[in-house]
Amino acid sequence: MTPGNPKKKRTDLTALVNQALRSKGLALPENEDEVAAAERRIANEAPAPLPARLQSPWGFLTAKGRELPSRPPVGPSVNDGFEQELARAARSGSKLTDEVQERMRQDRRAAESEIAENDQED
Amino acid sequence: MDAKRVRLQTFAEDLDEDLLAYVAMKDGESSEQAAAEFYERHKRFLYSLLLSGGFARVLGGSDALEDVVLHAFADAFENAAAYRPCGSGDAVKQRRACRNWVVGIAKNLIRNALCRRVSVVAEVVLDDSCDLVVDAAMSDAQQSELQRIVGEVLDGMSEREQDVLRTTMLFYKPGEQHQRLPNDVAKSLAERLATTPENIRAIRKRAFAKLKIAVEAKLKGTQEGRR
Repeated sequence: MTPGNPKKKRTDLTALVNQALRSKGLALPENEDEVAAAERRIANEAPAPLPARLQSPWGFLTAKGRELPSRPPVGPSVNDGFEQELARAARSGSKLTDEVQERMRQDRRAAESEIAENDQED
Repeated sequence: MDAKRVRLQTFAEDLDEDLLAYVAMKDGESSEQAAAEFYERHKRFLYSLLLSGGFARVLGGSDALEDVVLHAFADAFENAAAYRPCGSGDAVKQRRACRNWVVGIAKNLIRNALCRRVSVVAEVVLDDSCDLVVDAAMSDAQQSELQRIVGEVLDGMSEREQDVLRTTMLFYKPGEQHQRLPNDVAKSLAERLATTPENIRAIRKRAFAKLKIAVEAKLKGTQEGRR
């Protein structure tokens, strides 16, 4: 109940955001019902290929008795905007902008010249 | 390795909690094989859960995410004796109880990994005592509608805002008016987003203000539509 109006009450927005993130799979499940919901959600997604490190049934032995390695945070890529544009175009099937097409041509030229340089070194 | 693979079959019929009981016995190779069977059953779930939740980005890359999966299972097996059975003989219930337990271990590892990157131990107070005023006699359906609206507003937020909310929510403590974030986590997140810890607080504050305005507007629209 709010002091002014007994028909109204306050509800915690932070708790609502936390619940919404969990129901979207952007925060980790906190109970068995949420695990069940996560299982259903994952079953409906295209299965992600399991990385090589996780494929062996004995992979967990490599972590046994060791501390989780400390890895530095990765900053935003300088290509973020470019990559997002590519991802957007891939999702929607839309045409790439001239700017992105030019960037792709530049990347291709850079990759080709790098290969040529490597060939010369060999 | 082949011999181990053959022996792995012997645990294929066992329920998840029985596997953990075998692991807890720390009976050499037999416990290791029970652990391997358990790992095979649940690793894809944990990996997919972390991957689809965007935790590779939170942790700083796919290698870090794989580390968390491997270490979550290694820690679970090391502490298998601490697992409290769910009290059901049903395979599905046991599976979900075990996965919930492993996810809890992974969550702690993620929190610790984020805290370890910078050695200063202090907390940033996140001033977002952001309450919504709603009908006192809110039904369950209205409550779900409210959650749906919050989810919809979240979808419309930038990746940066979602990233800040997602990371700070890893440290969410229910019922506390002022949520806190370890200083080092704020620093690490700021580094990742190429900004300052003060700005992280500001991004979160703005995100909450945006959420509050959008949710209140939608609630108002829904209530007016009902009249």
